[in-house]
Amino acid sequence: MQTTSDKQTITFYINGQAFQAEPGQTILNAAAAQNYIIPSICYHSMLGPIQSCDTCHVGVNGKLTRACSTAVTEGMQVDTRSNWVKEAQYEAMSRILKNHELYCTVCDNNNGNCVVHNTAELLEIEHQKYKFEAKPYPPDNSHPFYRYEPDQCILCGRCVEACQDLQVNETLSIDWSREVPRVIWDNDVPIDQSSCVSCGHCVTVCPCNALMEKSMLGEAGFLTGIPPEVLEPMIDLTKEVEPGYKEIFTISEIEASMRKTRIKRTKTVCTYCGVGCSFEIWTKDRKILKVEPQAEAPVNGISTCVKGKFGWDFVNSEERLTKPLIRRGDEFVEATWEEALSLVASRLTEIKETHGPDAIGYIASSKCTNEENYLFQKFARAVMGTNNVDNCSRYCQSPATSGLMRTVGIGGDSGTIEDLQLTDLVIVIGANPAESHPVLATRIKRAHKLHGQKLAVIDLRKHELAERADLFIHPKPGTDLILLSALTKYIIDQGWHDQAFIQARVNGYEQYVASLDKFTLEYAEEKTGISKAEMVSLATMIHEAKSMCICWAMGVTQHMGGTDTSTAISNLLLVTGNYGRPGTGAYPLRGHNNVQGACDFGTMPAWFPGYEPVENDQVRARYEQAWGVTLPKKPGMNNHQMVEGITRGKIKAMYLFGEDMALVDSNSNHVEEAFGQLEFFVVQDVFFSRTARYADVILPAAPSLEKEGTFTNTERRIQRLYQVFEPLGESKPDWQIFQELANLLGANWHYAHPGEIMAEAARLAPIFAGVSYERLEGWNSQLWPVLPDGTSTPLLFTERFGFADGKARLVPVDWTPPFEPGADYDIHLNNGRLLEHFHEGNLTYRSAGITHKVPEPWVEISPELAKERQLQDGALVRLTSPYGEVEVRALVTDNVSGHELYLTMNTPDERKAVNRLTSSYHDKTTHTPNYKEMSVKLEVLESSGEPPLPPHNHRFGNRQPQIGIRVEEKWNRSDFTPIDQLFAEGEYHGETDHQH
Amino acid sequence: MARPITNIKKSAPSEAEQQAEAIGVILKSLTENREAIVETVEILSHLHEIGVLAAVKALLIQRNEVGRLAIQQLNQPSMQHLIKNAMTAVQTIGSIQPDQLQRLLNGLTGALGQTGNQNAAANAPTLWELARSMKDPEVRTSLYAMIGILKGMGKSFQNDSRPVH
Repeated sequence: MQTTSDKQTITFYINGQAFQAEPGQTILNAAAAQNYIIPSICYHSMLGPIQSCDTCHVGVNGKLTRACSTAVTEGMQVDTRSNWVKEAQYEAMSRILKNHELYCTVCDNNNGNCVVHNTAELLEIEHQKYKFEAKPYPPDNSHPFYRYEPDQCILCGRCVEACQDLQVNETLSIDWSREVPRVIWDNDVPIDQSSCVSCGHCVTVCPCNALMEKSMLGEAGFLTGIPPEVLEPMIDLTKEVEPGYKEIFTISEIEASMRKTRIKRTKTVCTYCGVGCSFEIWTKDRKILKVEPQAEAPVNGISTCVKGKFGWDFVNSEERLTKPLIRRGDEFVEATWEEALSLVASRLTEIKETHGPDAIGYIASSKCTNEENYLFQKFARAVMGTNNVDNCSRYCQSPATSGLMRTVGIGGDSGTIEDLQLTDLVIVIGANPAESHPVLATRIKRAHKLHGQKLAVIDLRKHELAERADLFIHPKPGTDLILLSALTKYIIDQGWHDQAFIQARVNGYEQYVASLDKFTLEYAEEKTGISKAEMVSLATMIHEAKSMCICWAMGVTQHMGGTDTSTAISNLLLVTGNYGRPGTGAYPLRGHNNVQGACDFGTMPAWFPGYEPVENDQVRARYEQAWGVTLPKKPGMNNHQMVEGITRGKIKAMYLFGEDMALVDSNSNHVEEAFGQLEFFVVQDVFFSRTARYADVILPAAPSLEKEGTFTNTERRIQRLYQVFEPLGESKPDWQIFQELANLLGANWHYAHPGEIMAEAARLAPIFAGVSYERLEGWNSQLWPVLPDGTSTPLLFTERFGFADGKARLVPVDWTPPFEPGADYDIHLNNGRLLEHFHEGNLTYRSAGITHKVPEPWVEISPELAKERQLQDGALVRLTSPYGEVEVRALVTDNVSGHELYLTMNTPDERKAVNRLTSSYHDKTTHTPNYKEMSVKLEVLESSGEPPLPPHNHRFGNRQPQIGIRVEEKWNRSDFTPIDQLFAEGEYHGETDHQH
Repeated sequence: MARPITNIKKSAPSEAEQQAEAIGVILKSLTENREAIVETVEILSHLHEIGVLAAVKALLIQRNEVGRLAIQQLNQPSMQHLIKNAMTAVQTIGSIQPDQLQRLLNGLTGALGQTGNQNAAANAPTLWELARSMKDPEVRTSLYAMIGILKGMGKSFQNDSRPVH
């Protein structure tokens, strides 16, 4: 153990041996830091001391104390070995085993990581004092993904602590008031009918088999598939004849080590949002046994959401594309890779030769790896000679990137999830992290619940974070820029701005202040509908906070003024000095797993990897030299321009991978019409998508679990994923397909592994200089910019901003009134994702459990509007915009208010898809569609009907918030005797003279 | 110009093709492991001749039922005692120091020899004769060892607190 000389350390002793500790460290942690393991069960590094299991009792100065909750003091003498301490530990472990039947060898949790098993073994338990007693409750198997077996539950409360204070969903508690306590869901309802969001935290932290993934049951062990009528007597017999636990543990360990030969554990990175959770996937052949998060994961630790924990069934779906398909007449016909790729090569060459290289467009995927995006832009630029390459960030976060590039010079999150945890104030505007970035939201919820963090939410909907917020502000749709500018002006007028910061680090202040003139509180009140008092109280919160982070997403960006509103957010942060310090900054929450990485690695029409302009001669020369070709100088078309280009006859062919543009682009009727006009269209995907229907050649790709590579999350963090399965059928990783096609076109590439592609990108793009697969091994990660020596930059702007002079820029912006289709369209249409489904549900509907929870989309209607239109839950309504119509069932909820609707996007069905309604208007800077600016007519087709959301959805649950497990209630029970009252030094084995 | 279509004509490989592919894979594995395969086939043939395969096959087919019956039988008190006693015996033997056991057993062998001689005399000794034999140091040594054994046993009986499982 190394300690720096200036750091204060404490010396203490365990069984006479000297140990070092940091001030405030507990005995348990200080010992563990020096590889001395004190046995314990309920303590978990991500949850802290729960103090319910009592197995970590140690002797300190002749008295028993819990090692998990006692801080080390100088010279402390800790005793873990004397008989009286061992007696105490034996008593504690016996109390545990009274609640838990040991049948390890036939238990699905016997995988070497069972905490109860390992602790019993470490404590050298030979027998137990108290007989096992079954609890008077049946197992709860109601939930599709996990079960609770009360008989095996030791009541340690890890699950409750995780649910209450880490995930902060507040569903689980232990009812200590019953004769036989147990874990309950909500106010004691079956799990499936509770407020449980299926995030899996409880199952992950359970130290035994009480909470188990159903996918593990009967599958994990060699003997666990034995039917109950054989198994139960077998357990009885073993118990009758076993001489002691040592022999039993030996056998169970042999079995556990045998399991290692057939259960494969592979680290991967989740593909369901931009948070970038990483975890192990446990598999047996092609069966996924479970997702097992680890505390080492840099972003999420042990946290997951329902999709990451349980949503991987799609990988083995029967409907996966497994062979290349070629359009012949009215059908697609299976083909060999040689046929398909040579057809693609010859047609692309033909079109390039006839119409020029810019007649072909290339759409990249924010779901695929950095290496694949790098290779795809290289293919478009170096092999095909065009900059017409773009990715789907155009649909979501380009305005945020653009707003940040203008003001602070780097288009990414300023810091990490840690900054969001430690900041004084979080403002969430136009984002719903609890559903769209669930694990990131848990950290905000935890800081808010436990550590006094303030939370302000600006949104149209009263979503979960809005409900929890200290201040919830509901502006009129599309007026965020006015609100933000008025707040900034008010702060400056009050003299609350950070003058020293502005003077030292920001340009353009005077000009910017002048531009704020019109944004008075009166003007803002009129336009946004927010009272002056509310604005003042938000400004005061900002003023009083020593640090602030602002999170935003599609609610801000998907407007005609999306870039400007993002700019206004950054301006507010600059004026208040909230950049460059821990706990500050701008957090444009990236929607897809690799939106950040796709942009970073150059699938953008004007940028090479690492945001270097294609127009810059020096930069281009560097790439030309490395790739041995001449590269086009003129920036290419973006997604939107490509679609327009098709209708204007400029784009003749397209190559698209990992993107269902026909469904996700706004005004999808128009987009589909355009695709129909292409002369040649290549679609590369995992499934047969809506877009694929227009293809001439369909190439089957392999999803993340079937390849290696890296993703970059919203924090700019690069993480490796490892291959879990072989590609299904004849599908192939996207990078291999690009390479084979490029080589047919004479490229002569020889990448044997994605690591070689990353090495090339790191050589060429300065912000990735020190990125390497070796440094990214296992749970390691790197946050760009990465210096040549491998040093990451978790927090941006500590010294300088991303401009030549190192100073930030305040950029004046004005309000763009949102698109209004006309007075007939009298109801505002909002839309977006939800927790359970990824986007339109192409992947997540393949999970029966998720579909059970959310079978179809719905439109949220306010109680006022429901009354006005005389409709009820389940009513069928038709929404009509100037661009199209959809029919969908209603959910009446006060999440929305007045004449504002919210249409969920979880449908592959065009008759329900929100983008039948949206327009082709867009952000003027980035061409991001204004998905959030639409109004519709609402007709009631059936005034009632089957509700679209089943009663067993978590939204109808009944949360039971509390802090932790309320262990005091356990201690106050009449049948509980504190262990430290039973044993003390020198008072052992009848030699006692103590009072009780 | 492409109309949106959704028909996919799958050229599913015919049964014969699938079989041919499978046979290819199997043949390759067979030739690569020729010796092991040949030997295994010989073993199988012997097992077949003596009827072991038929028995194993029946067992496997009825595995749940057989398992249930077997466990039921094993889970009777007498069987539990048998297993437990066997395990206790094994454990006990394991816990004895070999040289001690050796001494004891040597003593026993000697004792048996001596008893044989005494039997030949066939008469029960008088009390006087018995008391006189106490003078013999060999008898005294042996008696002292016996008392040690009694003492150890008593201690063990007193401390008996059988564990709960």
